[in-house]
Amino acid sequence: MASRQFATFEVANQLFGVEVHTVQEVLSYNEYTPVPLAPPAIGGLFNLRGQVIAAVDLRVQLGLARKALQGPVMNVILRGDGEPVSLVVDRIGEVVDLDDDTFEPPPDTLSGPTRELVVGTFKLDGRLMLALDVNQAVDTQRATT
Amino acid sequence: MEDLGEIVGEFLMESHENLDQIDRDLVQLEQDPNSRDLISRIFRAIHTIKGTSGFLAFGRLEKLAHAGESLLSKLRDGAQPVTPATITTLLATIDGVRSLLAEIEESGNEGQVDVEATIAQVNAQMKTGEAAAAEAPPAPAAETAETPEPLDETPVRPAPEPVENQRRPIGEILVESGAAQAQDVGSALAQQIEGDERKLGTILLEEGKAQPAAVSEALQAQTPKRSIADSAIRVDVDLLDTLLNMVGELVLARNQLVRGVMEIGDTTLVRSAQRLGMITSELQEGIMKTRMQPIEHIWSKLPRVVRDLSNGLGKQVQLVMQGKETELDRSLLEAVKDPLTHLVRNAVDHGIEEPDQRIASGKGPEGTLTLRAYHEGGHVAVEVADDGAGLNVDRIAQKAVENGLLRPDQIPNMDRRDIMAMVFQPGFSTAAKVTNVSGRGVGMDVVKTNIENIGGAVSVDSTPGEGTVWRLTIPLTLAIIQALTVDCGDQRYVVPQVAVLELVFIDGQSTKIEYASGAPVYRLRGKLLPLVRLDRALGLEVGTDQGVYIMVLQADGRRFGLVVDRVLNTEEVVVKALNSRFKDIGLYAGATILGDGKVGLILDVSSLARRSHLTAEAERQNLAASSRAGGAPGSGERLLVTAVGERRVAIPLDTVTRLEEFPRERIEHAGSREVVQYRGQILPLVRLSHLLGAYGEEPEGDTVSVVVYSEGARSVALVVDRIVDIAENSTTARRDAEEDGLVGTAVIQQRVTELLDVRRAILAADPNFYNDLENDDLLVEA
Repeated sequence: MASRQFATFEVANQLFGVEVHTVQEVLSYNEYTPVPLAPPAIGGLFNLRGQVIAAVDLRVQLGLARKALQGPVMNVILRGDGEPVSLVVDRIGEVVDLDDDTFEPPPDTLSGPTRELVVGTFKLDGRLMLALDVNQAVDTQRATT
Repeated sequence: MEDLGEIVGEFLMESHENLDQIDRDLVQLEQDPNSRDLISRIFRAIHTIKGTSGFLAFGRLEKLAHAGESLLSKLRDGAQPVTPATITTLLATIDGVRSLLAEIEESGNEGQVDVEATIAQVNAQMKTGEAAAAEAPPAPAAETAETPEPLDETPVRPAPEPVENQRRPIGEILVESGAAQAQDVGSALAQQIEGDERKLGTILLEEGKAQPAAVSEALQAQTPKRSIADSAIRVDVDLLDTLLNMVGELVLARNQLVRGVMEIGDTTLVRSAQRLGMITSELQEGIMKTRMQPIEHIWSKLPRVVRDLSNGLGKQVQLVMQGKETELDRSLLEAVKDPLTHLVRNAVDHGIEEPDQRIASGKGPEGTLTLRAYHEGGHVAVEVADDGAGLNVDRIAQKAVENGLLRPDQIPNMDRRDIMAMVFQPGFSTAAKVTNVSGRGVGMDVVKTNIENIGGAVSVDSTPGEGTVWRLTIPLTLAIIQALTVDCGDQRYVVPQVAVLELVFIDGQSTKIEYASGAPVYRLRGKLLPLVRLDRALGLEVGTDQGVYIMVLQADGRRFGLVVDRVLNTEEVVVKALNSRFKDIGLYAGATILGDGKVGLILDVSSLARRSHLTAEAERQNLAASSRAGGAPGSGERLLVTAVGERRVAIPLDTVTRLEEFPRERIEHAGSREVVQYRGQILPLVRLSHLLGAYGEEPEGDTVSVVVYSEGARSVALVVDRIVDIAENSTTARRDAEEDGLVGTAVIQQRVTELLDVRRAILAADPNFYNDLENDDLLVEA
């Protein structure tokens, strides 16, 4: 049985996951430089060991209000296409091994911005994890209103 | 296989270099057909390629190189004259070799590249040449055929491991040059083997078997062979880039450390931090230097371009290059290559006239195209100058009106150079006929865009009948820039210092922002300066008009004021490219890590100007106004600008009595003070670096530069690292200092310069300077 490893995290009490190999690291950071006139999903920029990283606010991407970047905020740093990019999340979860048979496509009732970001649902013990399309999740040019 | 790959790689790299050299030599050979040196050099280079390609089993490459070599050997032996047709054939051969090499680089084998046609061409050339030579008297052929024979053997590198790199035995050199007998060398060698520890040359000399001059000559002949191979190594560019990045990080870490240490104030720590700072700066400089390459690298292809193009157009063009050794950062060289080639092609195509036309206008039939490169301030200027007909300003103006770029009524009031600059507009061409080279109106705007992308500028000037000069101004390096940090709202931004002309503090009383029908302006020395509020431009909450700063900026030929809340300091920052997702905003040129570790955005001054709808027209009126006002003498005071560590400190010139240099050993101590004997007096010294707390070590050198200030019979000397210049201060451009010993800072010659509090500096040197002491001899209290 084929299985995949997912790094999980929570946003607005919903559990999300991305495949482990897309994740560079996870860290908490508390100083962000806002970028005026940038797409709303850009939470800000921060300095990761001398590299300038853009933090994408997953809440905004999911159609929610932006997260206040005050105090330490968890970042899931994705390898991204050529350069790392960070997803700002509420809480970091565990790394889970998931069998393919626990996978189902997103429910038809799921709509709105979330639908575009989610590739499927994994049925965990007691809760559901939505697997994110990494490229969509960090695409800040998407029409987010 | 791995090894072979490396060998092939080395072969490719070496061959590419050789081919570029051959190209240049061939073009030169055409000018100077009798140069045996050139022929031999080309021959050797081709022979090397042939030899190695045979060794690596690139059959077709070997065959092609062999054909070229045969033709060259005919030229070398004088069996055939050097004609333009021969040169063309040889250049075609080189092109063939080049495309084969490209194929090998791409796919690892020779692929489908056809060489037969070129070989046939070479053979045909040899036949026609033979026929021509047969008709001509077969004069020097026999005699010259013998001498160059050894060329075949000695200089050829049995690649890939050149034996040349090894030091040739001195005995061999001596015997070869006839300075010593073979048996003498032999017996000297035998002596060495038996335990004589003297050097071979010494033995020969002491036994009178060789002349001292001959031995030293032989020793010299021995060394250069080493130096070329040993003094340079090839380094992967990626490795250099990584190093550069890391040094960039180190600079940032140093800034943070220095800041932290300053807060703690522990003197030992401060000293170590300063030392670290110095080392870092030097390291950074060194790494930057490794990336510098002479501009010759991109110029080397141009003689060929000019030759092919002028031949095709029936023009005669002589290419002159000045300042080949001028160095530029590697990445910049790459970026400049295409624009430069375009300018050169354009100059040959449109700048330089046909020979008969040139004669008709009283010039020689041969046009001259001059490439010139030189350093100018923090920039490198590259000029492409032709002595052709020059730009037709009337036609440019007419065309600009036709294209709707200008209104007819604007023309009479415009500067010639402004009209000429219209050629950089997209889709603009005044060429009477469109050729396959240029004249289609694509190009000049691309040249401008490319150069501006790397932070450079391009301009044109032309004199009718005398020619045109295209001028590229290129920054020395991309990665690290001098910048001013400013505050706006609660955020910090970075403004590249090249764009900053001066700073003005707005107190709301003597200096204030005014509104012209809602548009903010400032009266800068009588002229209205359009203002852009940074907070408004960034869509932030708009602040007040009082207690703010105006940065007078220049970009794209526009001058405007940027209103910010606070100007902090000048810093060297490492430019980090911004993620593509920020490209659309356009306001940011990049980001950097500030001293406190936070990310700071670097503002793109020209797009700020564009976004704020500052039209070029506004600036033109501005220029006209300034040229009218230009006659009035500057009102500012004259300042002596000095360097103290990394800082620039200005001293009002009218307080300066003399500039002196003292030998370092003349400095004596009186108590805790340093003094020198000067004109029968004891002159107290004060080091500005100590006074201002500038870090950095004492500059090297046997002398110290001092500024002497005298009043009555008393004098003091202020020690600076270097006298930089004398400049005029635009007094509005200053802000008050927060530091002791200074009265303020100002932008002078586009650098932030601190204005020295002279009175305080003098008191530091001599606390009693201003006390009216009777005893003038008592200058120093021990």
